[in-house]
Amino acid sequence: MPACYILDMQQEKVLAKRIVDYTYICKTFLKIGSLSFGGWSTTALLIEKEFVEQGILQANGLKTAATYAQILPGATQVILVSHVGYTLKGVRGALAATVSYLLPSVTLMTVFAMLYFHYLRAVNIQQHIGGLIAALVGIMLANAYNIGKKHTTVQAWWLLALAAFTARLLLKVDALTIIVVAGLGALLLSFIQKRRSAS
Amino acid sequence: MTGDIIHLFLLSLFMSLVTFGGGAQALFYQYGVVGNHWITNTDLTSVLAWGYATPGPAVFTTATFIGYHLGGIGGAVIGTIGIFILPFLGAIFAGRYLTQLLQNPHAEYFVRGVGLAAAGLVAATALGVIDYKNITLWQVIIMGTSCLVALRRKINPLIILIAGALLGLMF
Repeated sequence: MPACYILDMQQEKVLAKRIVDYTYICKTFLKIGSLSFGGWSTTALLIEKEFVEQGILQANGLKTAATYAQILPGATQVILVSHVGYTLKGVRGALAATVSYLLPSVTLMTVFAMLYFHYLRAVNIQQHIGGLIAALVGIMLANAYNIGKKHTTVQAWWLLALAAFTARLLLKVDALTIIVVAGLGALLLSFIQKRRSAS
Repeated sequence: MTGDIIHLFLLSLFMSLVTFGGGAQALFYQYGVVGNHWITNTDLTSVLAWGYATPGPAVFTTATFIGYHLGGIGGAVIGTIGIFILPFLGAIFAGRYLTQLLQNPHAEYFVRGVGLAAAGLVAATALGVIDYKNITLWQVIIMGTSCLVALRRKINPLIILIAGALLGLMF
């Protein structure tokens, strides 16, 4: 994700430049949802192409949505799409955009679940997909690195990721406990640093 | 079964509240595989592979998959709503109510801490799904190569998965 998407909150004057109807929102987000392979940055680039470059949404509108998407919890793409939809046409616009965007992936997943639980699960596919799982593990490791890189550029902070990794894999600590402790620990560090800099 | 679907719905709401920029894989493993035994390790690896190969929020649609398993199409819909409703509402209300909070530097630290923990958890989940008893040298090579390719090239994960699957069948 280009750094320019990090929002300057002071610039937040999110305005849709042109009125669009629900059909357009649905159609365009259906297209974006069908093409958004490989993470939320692809979704952001497609929104830029379909809405910002077409003069429908101001660049700041996308920047704002991208900032919320990075900071708020939950599926990043959904936050991005919902906020853009909301900017374009209020709550109904957000609903239209989100449902349209999710339709392709949820449909594909439901079809896969149907095939999997009715046919594929009975076959011991694990024996035949060792290479696929190995590739998946590789992608997940790359994904883990990218998640960490997105949150810090300071090497010392990576110790936190290492601690979470060790706690989960070796000590079998509950994932939620790790998340909560890491969040609160970082919060505590923030207060300590603020107090130090004040004194 | 209805109890399980309600449980999945509540868990999905909860999971969507604690994942900042990633880490949902670890929570699905924790609560779907280990905690409630709704799906097996093989099911999870299969659904994650499918998720990465399809567009949209890949990992989160695991809730759709588990929902279908627990209650058919209705369960899939409930799982989907559970995992996406709060981010949807959050995006709508963010502009009105959260701007001040998000400008707070302490919030930035909190998100950073949670995000880095998520990175560690995703890596742990990745290594946790490996069948160490039956792993081959070729699979280790595929794993390492896939990781490097995914890091260095803007390449569709589907291509990496297909290449990995084919190489796995060949060797």
